[in-house]
Amino acid sequence: MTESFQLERVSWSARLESLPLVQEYVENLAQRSGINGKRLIQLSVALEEVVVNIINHAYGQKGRGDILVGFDDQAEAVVVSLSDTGLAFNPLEAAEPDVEMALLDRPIGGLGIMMVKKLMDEVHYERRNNENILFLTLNKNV
Amino acid sequence: MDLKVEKREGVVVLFIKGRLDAVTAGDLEAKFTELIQGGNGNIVVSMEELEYISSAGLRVVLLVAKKLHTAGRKFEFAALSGNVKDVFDISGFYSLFKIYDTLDQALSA
Repeated sequence: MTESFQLERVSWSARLESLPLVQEYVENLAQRSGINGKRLIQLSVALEEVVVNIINHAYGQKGRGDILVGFDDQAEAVVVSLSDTGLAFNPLEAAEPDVEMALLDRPIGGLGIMMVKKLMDEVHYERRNNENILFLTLNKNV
Repeated sequence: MDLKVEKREGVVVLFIKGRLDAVTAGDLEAKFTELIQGGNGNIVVSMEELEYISSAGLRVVLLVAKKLHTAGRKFEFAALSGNVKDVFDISGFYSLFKIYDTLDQALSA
């Protein structure tokens, strides 16, 4: 799976304006790979969660940086990679929200990565070449 | 995303159409601020034409829920489907909120 990292990647600046562009780019490729309907929307939501995390946290308050997006159409699955060159950080290790908690006590944060883990078939983090990389895997023909 | 507000049976009904994501969540929050400040009735949200929701949308829902709860006003949902239903389910929102299959059921409850 990590060999896919060598494939071509596209770069966008880590700003909210880039979100629809990243989603459109990946959605087009995913559709061509046979991902449609609800699965496509799930992929889109997972993308948003990761991209927004990068926009908000990867480069600090005033920081600027890029998001690198890769797409690998494998036989049984598609793998989307999302990278930033910010400080080393694995979002998968962040604490998950307690969904049993009462409304008034519940903190607002933490939902995003939980959604990525539940909507995607697999999620992996790698730190490589000073990049934080998340690999999102969506199986085909489920 | 399109937002439409109607008053029905003394309840404020907010219809959300399209995509609720990090880009549009601010508009939703602004609309809710209007509704919260502009009245004191219960609010039902119709999600029938909502195709997509992410954690940005859930965040607004939680923020609004806390405010309405403090004000003693009901905040309920109707007609979830597809991705929206899954996301609410995954996030535990089904145990947090009253969710009706149809708007009519919500209004006659």
